[in-house]
Amino acid sequence: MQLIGRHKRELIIGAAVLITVVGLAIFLLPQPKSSSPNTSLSDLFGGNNRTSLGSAGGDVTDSQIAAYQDKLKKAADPDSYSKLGLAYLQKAREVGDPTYYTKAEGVFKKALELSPENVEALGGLGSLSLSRHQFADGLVWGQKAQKLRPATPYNYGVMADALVELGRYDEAANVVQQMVDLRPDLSSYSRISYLRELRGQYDGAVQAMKQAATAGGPTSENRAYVTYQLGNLYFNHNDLTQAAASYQEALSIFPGYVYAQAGLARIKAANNDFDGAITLYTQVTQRMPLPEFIIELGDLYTVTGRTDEAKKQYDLVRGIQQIYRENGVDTDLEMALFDADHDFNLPDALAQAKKVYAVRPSIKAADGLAWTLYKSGDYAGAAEYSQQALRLGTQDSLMLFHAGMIKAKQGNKTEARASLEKALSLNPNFSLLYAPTARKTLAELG
Amino acid sequence: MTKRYLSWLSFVGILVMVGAFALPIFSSSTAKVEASSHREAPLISQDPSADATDLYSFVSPDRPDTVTFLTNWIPYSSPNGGPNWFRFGDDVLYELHIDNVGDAQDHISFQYRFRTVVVNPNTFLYINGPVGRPDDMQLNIRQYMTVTRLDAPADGSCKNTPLSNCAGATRTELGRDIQVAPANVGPASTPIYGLTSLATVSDLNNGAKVFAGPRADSFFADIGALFDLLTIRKLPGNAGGGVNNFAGYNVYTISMQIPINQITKDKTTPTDPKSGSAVIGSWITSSRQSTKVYSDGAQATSGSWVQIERLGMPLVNEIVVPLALKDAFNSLKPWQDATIPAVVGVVTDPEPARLLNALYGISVPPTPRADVVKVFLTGIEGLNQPAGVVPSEQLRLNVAIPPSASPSKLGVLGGDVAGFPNGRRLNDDVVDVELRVVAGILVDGFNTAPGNVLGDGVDAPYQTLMQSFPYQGTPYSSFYYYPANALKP
Repeated sequence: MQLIGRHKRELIIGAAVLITVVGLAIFLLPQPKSSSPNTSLSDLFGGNNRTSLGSAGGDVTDSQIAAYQDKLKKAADPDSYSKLGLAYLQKAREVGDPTYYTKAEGVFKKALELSPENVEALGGLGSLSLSRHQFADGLVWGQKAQKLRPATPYNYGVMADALVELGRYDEAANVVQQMVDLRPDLSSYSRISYLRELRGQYDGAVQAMKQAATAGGPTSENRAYVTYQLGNLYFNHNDLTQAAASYQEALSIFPGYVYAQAGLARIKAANNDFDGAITLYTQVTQRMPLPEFIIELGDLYTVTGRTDEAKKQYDLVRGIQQIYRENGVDTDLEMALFDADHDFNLPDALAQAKKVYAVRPSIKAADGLAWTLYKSGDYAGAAEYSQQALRLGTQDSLMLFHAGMIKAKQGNKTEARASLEKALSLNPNFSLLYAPTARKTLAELG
Repeated sequence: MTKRYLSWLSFVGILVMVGAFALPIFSSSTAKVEASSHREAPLISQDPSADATDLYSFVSPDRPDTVTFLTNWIPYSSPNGGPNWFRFGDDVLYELHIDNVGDAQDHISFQYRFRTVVVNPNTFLYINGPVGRPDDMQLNIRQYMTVTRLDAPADGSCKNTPLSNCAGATRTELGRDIQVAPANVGPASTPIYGLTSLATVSDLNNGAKVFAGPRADSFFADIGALFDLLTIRKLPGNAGGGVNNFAGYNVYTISMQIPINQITKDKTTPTDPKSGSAVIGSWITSSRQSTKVYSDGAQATSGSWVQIERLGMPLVNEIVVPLALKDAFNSLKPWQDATIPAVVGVVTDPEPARLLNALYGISVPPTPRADVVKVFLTGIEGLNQPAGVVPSEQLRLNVAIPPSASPSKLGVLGGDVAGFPNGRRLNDDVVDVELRVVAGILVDGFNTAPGNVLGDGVDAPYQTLMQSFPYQGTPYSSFYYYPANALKP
């Protein structure tokens, strides 16, 4: 069942060629305007839209989509529209293609036209809004659905996720408590884990994620996902052995699981096997062209001195970002951070980060704003938002690193040292680009 | 049957209900993991190990002073399950509840808990070599079950409280670390599987027996057709022609055979069906523990048990509770049923009846359907209705009615009062019976063709049953596995 194993050689060669070719194409072609809705991932990747989350195919989803489309041709009914919408969301997930978001929105809206209280459509629009990073909208849809179905845990999940991203953590915790009291399962336990992680409760976060994993089916992709999340918890806490074990377990649950492979690639990089990491990440990006993977691959090229190849990855990110935008996904925070990290177009990055924070003052948005302010030279401003970012006590190396750098610029040596030391002791591999910076700055601080 | 519907939906491909969550989009920086804009955990999660499929209860034909309860879990367990075989959940509380009074309260609860042991933690392999005895060391991943009995306190202090959350309940441990039967892997790994599996049948105190492990799914129904707007392939459905969609699949069963005088309210073995202690109502639940989101320091590992599944009569979710209420029903307790208008309301106006009328022109009785209420919520007078019954959804068995010498698969409708809906035996054709009940067979003037001969055209379990405990057939093996649709119904 190992898709990767079977096609490994072809994939490696093919991917290298493909990315070179595609990268050049992006460079030479004019950037698509946001008014042209027809750009798709297959345009970027030469027609290969058969990417996949894991070895289990999207054939089931494809046949569902076909079945509902057929059914709707004969007679329009709200349930079929909303189920088709959910199938589109699933497809988007499986192949990493945001054009399915637009499709999903269309049919959810049709369902509501026919039946304004169609709960699946309301919940589906909630989930869709979350995926598009429109968190205020997500909360509204989730609340509508929850009022109609107060016994359905799904809607609480939508609300909780929205509240977290809006920076309303106490409210999120209340909703998650309701969710777990209603139904303790993988969905609720994994959300408890995340909230604990945000509060800096590492042991509790690990415990809750383990509970989530044991509550999943033995071969379910959901279980592989939370096992992968457990691996991330370990990685971010510098427990590389446990992290690797978790990523391997995720692969045994769901062969070829692309996130787990990315996790293993990160571990290779942490062990200075950059070539191995690049190989694995190339396979990963070929299978699932998510910007988070492509950025990682680009950064691997950067730290190994392969600047041209790095640039191709970064340009690809912009191309994909464009497609996301065309399909209603708000990527402002992500792009602001990407630009700040790589020193691209800082004025735009700062404007975007400010905009995001104004709409949703989550700790992530605060940290993003802090970092873009830092890169723009406004250290006082950066310090204020960095403090906001760390207000929950999150044990997050990246945020602590940002804090340390800001404090260093402000001449606050003691606190700068403390923050940088903390960042590196928590996770010395917290960033390919910036862990070396942290070490260097710490040395300079004396 | 609740979970069969959902499981079938999943199987037929409405998998979206399970996996509808979207992508983490970006990572802002580099090796920091999960720096994507937000965490996207699943919104709906399958919990197969907590998924109830069927409950059977009948006076044991070969030991008529005992009742057998077969509780089945984990639907559509494909025999081809390696290397990750299904298991009972170590974190799940499985319960068989008994109401021996008729007041919809939790009087006795049999609790089943499991723990997984991995003999060699350096491998994920299920089996390392041929396994003959169930405790052979080559069976690397194994489970053990503990059985505890809870009795409600006599002072009524736990009224309207599940026994699992009742501090005053009397707890009696009936059996500890009983091995769960292994999976039927194949002739190399489990060469004498039948014997291996049955070697795990255990005697508890006082003449009770217990067994846990995989068995062939005994349920038989043409679910594919029925859920396609109540299609009956070969009308009216009483002459075969249906497809048994459960052929070829296994389930995981927790089975118990217990002396009648250990579960009746007066500790007798009644012989008069009209006796006040003769009707035993039952339902099964699975629960997981809640927990506090934050716990300020020491993490709270456990909270109260939250019921996440419930099952009594078969096909309850299709006839009693609409899909819209299924989440609510999962957490309802029997003492709440009568207070929920939607639950009672739907029984009195069952949707399948309207469908039968609309699709087949069958003249169904007018609402409210007191007859359906009787079958699902109170039992039938003179058969399995306790005196002063509080309406609630349970499988009710009159233990004073002896096993039939010549059972009819139509149970009561076939003149066999030892059968469904008086309890439920493995061969009872609950689909046919319920279709006919919904069409009006119990109502004067509506016991007419074709309503009274409806069926799905599938008439018996696929796998051969056993004549003694644990009764259900040998599970299909991984080695000889064929796709279910290649098996003949």
